[in-house]
Amino acid sequence: MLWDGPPHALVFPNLFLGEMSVAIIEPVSPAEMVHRHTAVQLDGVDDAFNARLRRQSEAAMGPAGFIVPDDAVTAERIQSAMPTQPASERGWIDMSRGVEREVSGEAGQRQALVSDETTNRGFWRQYRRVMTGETA
Amino acid sequence: MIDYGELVGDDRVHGSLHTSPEVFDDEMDRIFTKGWAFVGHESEVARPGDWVTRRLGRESVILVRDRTGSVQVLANRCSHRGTALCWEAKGHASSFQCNYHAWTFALDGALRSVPYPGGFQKDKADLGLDRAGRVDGYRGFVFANLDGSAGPLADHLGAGGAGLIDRLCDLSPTGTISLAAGWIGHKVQSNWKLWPESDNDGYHLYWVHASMVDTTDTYYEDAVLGGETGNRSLAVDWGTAMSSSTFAPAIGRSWRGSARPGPRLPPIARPWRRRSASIEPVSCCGTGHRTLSSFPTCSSAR
Repeated sequence: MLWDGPPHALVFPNLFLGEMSVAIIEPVSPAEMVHRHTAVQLDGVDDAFNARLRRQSEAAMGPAGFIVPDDAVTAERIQSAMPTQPASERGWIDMSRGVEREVSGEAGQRQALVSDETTNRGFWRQYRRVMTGETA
Repeated sequence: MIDYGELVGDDRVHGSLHTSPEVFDDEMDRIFTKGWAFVGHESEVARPGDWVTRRLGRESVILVRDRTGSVQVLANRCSHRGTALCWEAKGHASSFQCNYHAWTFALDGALRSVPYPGGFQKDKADLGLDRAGRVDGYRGFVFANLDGSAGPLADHLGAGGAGLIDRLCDLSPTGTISLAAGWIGHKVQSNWKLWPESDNDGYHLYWVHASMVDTTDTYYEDAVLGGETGNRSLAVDWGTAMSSSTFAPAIGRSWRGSARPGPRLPPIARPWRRRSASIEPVSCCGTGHRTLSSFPTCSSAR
């Protein structure tokens, strides 16, 4: 029953299920946000186990961890390079990786290799649906 | 009027979506006011009177459990002159009192008392705190739709989103989890949408997270670091939820410690390599669960 492991997923628009951490994505302004996270704690296990999950979450997502600080540097570098002008032929972001090898799963979901940008395209598809009024 | 159909293509998006104040205003309205967004977890407000503050779109809100045991999402804003009621990240209260003129509100947001009542002619029932139009939850995860115009939460989550939450909660022997261990916020000078992108991107690990790749030994080895065709995981788009790693194909071997004996970066990643922290090997904390993991430092599978 547990073979599938924890989720590594985004629930639109602001909930990140980061395996044994959970994060909230909080917009502040066009160029500022807060990435807020906590360690998942399991009910019904002894505290030594949950303490271990807390240490792991700190190592992954915390201020001195492996993941969020490095992603933050990248995010700020992206932000510094983003165009402020409206759409033109300049300033597009490519997310085409793996388009040609996406396949449909049993429930109709699109899937491709983990290194493909299927998840990124999925976020923006939902964004477009909401922002164009196609769905709320 | 911004044409989002033009700015968001099937395989490319325009960078101005990350910088435009007008786009940001539209997002706060269409995504965070008219749609469903995650607010917090029921375990954070376990007892009546427990509260936490959160930001939901442009608003500060209070997630609180009222006296009847219901979870409320209230505006953190006095209905009199607009003062923020709660200044801490969390607390426990029997009521909320504004520090400006001491208007006092019940845990469900109802206005209880107004000092110097002789000069106040309005009906208190009309001056409760603003509250989210719709609040609903799934397995302890509380979501709110501020203006109340969205459809059912189940439609928003879809089978994909619910299934991903199930997958997390089902790791627990009781089927329930807690998110009350404390939250850490990283303030980042970037647009918020860069995080749904990078949190859920299976392509960048070798480069952005070279120090992790270099020092840890986890199921990531099989799931996402095996090279483009060697990895055994999937990126999946469920519609309103997206999963960048489905670990099932990669789990099924014994747990192996988390510290690597030596560097193993592929040549392509070496230019990005930085000094890695010295990490002591750790022992497995297994409790009988087959698979638990916390990227990047540990996995256990048995």
